[in-house]
Amino acid sequence: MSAALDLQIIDELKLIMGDDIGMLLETYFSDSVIKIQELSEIAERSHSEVTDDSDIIRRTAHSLKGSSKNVGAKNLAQLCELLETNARNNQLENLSIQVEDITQAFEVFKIEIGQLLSS
Amino acid sequence: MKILIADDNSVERLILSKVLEQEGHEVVQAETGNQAIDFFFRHSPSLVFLDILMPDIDGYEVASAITRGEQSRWVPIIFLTSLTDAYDLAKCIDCGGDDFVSKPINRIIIKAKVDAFSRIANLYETIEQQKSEIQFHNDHLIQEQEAAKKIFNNIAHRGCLAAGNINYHLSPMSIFNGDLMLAAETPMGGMRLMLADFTGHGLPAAIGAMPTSEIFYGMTKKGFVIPDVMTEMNTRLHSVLPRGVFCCVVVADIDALDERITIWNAGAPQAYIIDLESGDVEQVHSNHLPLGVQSPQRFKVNPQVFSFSKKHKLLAVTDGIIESTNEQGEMYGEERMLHFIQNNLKIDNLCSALIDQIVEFTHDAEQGDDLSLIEVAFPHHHLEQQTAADDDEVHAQTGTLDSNFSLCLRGKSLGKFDPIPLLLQTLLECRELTPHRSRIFTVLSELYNNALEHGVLGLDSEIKSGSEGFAKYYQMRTEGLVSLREGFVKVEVDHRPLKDGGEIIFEFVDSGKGFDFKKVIKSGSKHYSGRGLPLLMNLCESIEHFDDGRRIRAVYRWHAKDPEDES
Repeated sequence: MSAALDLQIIDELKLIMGDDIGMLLETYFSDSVIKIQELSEIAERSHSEVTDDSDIIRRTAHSLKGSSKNVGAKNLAQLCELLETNARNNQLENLSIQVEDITQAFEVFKIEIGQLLSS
Repeated sequence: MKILIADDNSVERLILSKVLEQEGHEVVQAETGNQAIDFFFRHSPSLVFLDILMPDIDGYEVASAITRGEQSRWVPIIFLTSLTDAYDLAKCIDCGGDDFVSKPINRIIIKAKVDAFSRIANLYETIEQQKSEIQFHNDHLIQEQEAAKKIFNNIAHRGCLAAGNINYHLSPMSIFNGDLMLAAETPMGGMRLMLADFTGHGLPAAIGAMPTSEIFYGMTKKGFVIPDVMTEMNTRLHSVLPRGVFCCVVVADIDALDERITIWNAGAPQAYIIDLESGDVEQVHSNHLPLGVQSPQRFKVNPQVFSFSKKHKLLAVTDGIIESTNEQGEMYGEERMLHFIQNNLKIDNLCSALIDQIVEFTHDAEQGDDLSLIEVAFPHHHLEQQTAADDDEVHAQTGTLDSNFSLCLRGKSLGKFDPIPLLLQTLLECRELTPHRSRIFTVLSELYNNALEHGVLGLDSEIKSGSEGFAKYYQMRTEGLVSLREGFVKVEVDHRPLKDGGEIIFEFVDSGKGFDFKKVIKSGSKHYSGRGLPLLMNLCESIEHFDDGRRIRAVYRWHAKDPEDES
């Protein structure tokens, strides 16, 4: 049982979207790349100086969490939720590591969902 | 159904619109809050899905803007939320939301919500439609009532209610409360009044007003007495009124000549005959079931007779007055009313004082609309004013201008049958006599009543003087008629044309003992109670007595108006 995929949601999604599931995932991927890119940039900046970007981080993480849940990216959604909570509580000491984890989980999801749908 | 989705997250938007499109709905997508408001008013969707967190303005503001801007129809708003905090959810409802669904989007939940709201929206639309239909019907009904009111008011017109001796209070829509007030001058020169109260409200209560007022005015004009008119009314109402609808009446004849009132109360609250000098108040209670209840065979009218002159006043009310109720649930009642009358004898307009008093009692000015009452003082005798000619004159020489007819009433039919209307109608077949209706009626009824009361029954008009006299006299008259087996009154009418009009010779013969007419004429000139002879002598060209007063001949002379005199 994969930690990256929520199979129940993905089955539901296949039912809803039918042939358009590829298009939906493409949208998801391109949206998410931009959001992860935003998070990475903030993480790099805050490496050197103190940041007050916690509000942007919270919103971005919230949005990424939402769309990830919808496409069944279970692990990724959980990581986003953790970052969202930390940002709300201003606990961003491990921001770089968390963003790194999110980037990785995104890559894993891309691969696994690709395999699942092509099988 | 057209549905607006406002969500900045394109993945969510895609999935949601797919779900909705699969259900056959048309979807409009907005990516920001401002776009959502713009699209709402441009596309007029029937349902809105709103995300809370959006980059420009949030869902709460969008919902407020939409509900503020859309007044004419109801568009449900469903919030899309991953929030679970009770405070946030409450805020969704506060700003005009109708429901929320939690993310991630679940097809079945979405479908259920949309179906539910679609049903509610249909219901809402149906209600709106029915509301406007009801409004339409209501307007229509009011229009019809207005029209009906006009028709009714023409038929059940007020007669001579505007006369100076009458004060009354009657709501303009009273006919639909079942209240009816009628007044007419009698051919005899007095006045007849009737206050009627039909049970129920609305059209059923108004229906009876038509035959009632037709009979009232028709028969009064022809000179019928109260029992005849009431019998006819009861017969008609008994056949036309629906079950459970009947009519309480007080009806009264004021005889201006004889200074008496003949009054009958059937089911109405007691009427009051007030002596303004002594402060005595005679209460006339109901002694019969209301009109329309009893079959014609069982219907019997026994009016009461009282003395009524310039110092008297009649007051009749409907039960709306007595039953006026204040905030404590207490009724105004007969006792309070009698007390008020006795304390306000000197007031000119007792009617409006009483209404004021009841409005004060109930603390409710609107209640005044359900109240009907009439106050009548002594009327002027219209024959005393020599202008008394009806205006509906017809100049064709027709009917009974050259004729002779006679009628003899014996024993049992005396007193049970009133021959005056018959004789009057027969004479009036000659249209030129129309302006003389009142005078001829007066001559006929004086002559007939003299023959019956003083002749056949042998009653002495002296009995009438004194305070108890009136009641005693009419008591004796009623008893005398009941036990009457023999005797007769014979009437002969001879109508002859003359060059400029004609003359009517009335000859009355009765079976009585006769009387000393010379003496009566002398004393009678002082007051009217002496057989009304002065009046007869005034109206007729000649009066002659024969056969010791058992036979009387009166000649009534009338002059035709030259049509060319008219201007």
